[in-house]
Amino acid sequence: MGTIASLMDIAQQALRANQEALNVTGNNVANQNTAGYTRQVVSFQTVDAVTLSGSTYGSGVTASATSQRDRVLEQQVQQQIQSQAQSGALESALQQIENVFGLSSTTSSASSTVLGTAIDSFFSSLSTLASNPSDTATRQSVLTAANTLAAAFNSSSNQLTQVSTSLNQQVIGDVSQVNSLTKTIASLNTQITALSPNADAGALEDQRQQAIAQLSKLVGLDQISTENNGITLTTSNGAVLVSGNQSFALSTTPVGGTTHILAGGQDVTSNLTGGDLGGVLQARDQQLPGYQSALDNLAFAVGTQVNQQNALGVDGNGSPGAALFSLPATSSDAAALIQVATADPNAVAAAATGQGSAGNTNASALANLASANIVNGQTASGFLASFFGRIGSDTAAAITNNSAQQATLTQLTTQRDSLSGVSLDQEASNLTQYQRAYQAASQVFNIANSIMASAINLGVQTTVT
Amino acid sequence: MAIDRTLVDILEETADALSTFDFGKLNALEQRIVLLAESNTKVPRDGIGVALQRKRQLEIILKNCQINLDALNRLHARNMRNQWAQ
Repeated sequence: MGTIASLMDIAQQALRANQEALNVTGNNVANQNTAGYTRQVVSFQTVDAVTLSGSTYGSGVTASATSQRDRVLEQQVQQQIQSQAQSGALESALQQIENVFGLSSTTSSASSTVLGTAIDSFFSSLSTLASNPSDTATRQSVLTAANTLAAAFNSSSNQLTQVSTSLNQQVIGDVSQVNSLTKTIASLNTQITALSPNADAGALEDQRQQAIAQLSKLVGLDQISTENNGITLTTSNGAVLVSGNQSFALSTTPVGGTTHILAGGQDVTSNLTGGDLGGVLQARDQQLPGYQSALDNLAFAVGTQVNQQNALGVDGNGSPGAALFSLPATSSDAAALIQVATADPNAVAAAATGQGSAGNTNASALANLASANIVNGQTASGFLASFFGRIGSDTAAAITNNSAQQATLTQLTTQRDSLSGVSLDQEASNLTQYQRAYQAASQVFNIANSIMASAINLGVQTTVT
Repeated sequence: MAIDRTLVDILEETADALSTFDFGKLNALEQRIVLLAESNTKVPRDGIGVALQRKRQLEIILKNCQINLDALNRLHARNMRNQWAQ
């Protein structure tokens, strides 16, 4: 048996251990809805006993709280957040592009879209003209259909440009958030290194993990644990964002109409992957230019072929046909710049050379362009259908990929939360365990009280307080 | 073993077991002290000092536990209410 002093030590240790355990449960319950909070568990360690002069002293207990954190799982979750954020951003951008062309899951064919209808109506108006080449109203309807077609190309091209502009703004916003978060993480690195260089830093660690998770939503990261519980973060292409207590800001600069990202003065735009930025850059720099180019090719081919055929005929004034559409010299920006070159209904060269102005042979030839392979070996309508099919399949693939990434993220997050998250059921179970232990100890206390009361009062039952 | 020594051991072990919420050990201790009480053995008056110290310490721990448990139960009930309200 120890001395009274050693017994007091044991009691104090027991009190502290008990208090710590209850505090931890209280903290867990109080933080049940706190984003990023990692559940803490109590571990009890028996203090080593000391033997002096044959007697053993001290068998107290200490308690310590540790966060239930699996760093490998945390990193997996963060990497998955990056993949999911990229696929989500790409899906969102592609859906905006689908909206530009009025494509949706209910769109039955290309010809039911604004652009498809405009192409069909234009060639249809030329067929009508072939039946009645001298009618001014019919000639006027050709010009009207041509204007509608040019406007549809202009509008689609402008809207694609607006999508690109919006993605540029998203890049600037993302970079600003990245810089704010890297500053926060560097500051947390400093605090963690100072306060807890060799062990889990609890709430500070939670805050740092949460900041890294938010950063992962924005950009792909590589994470390296460094000495004294520090973390170094680089972009997926190696540009350092955080090193110890220092953060390195990204910046943006306009280059040829698009916003580029600089790290330490170097342009890192083409190598950035992961996160919202990765998805935005993929949509803006890889997908969008292809769509814009296809639209330009279509506008240029239709305009050029119609102009060439019109030049082979004779217009309503008896003159050789002139260009109906004004176009740039190459297909570049053709969809944005295509215009109807004339307001004169007689400018349409319906007659062939030698037929006189009332002829219709060239109008038929113009109408027949609808079924001619004038764009990359396809008819205008066929090319448009392929083009829309490509946008649709790209978007569908992005949606499928994003759903898969989201499912994986949910799975990993569930796995992490089952380890690190606070479960009220678990804490309720802990509470019950504490309650039962308390009641059992109270019972021991009450019986001891009775025994001692008997002793003090020479067998007369009473209560000692 | 003298009854006062046994009593002190039980009280010490109870404090330890309560510190680690060792329910199994507490149950065993409860059975031991029930048997001790049923034996009607009298504790010698001169040997009761240390036992009283241990009892007083256990009493402090129990009071502390009660306060914490009340707070935790209130906290838990509030969070459950919030969860149902969501």
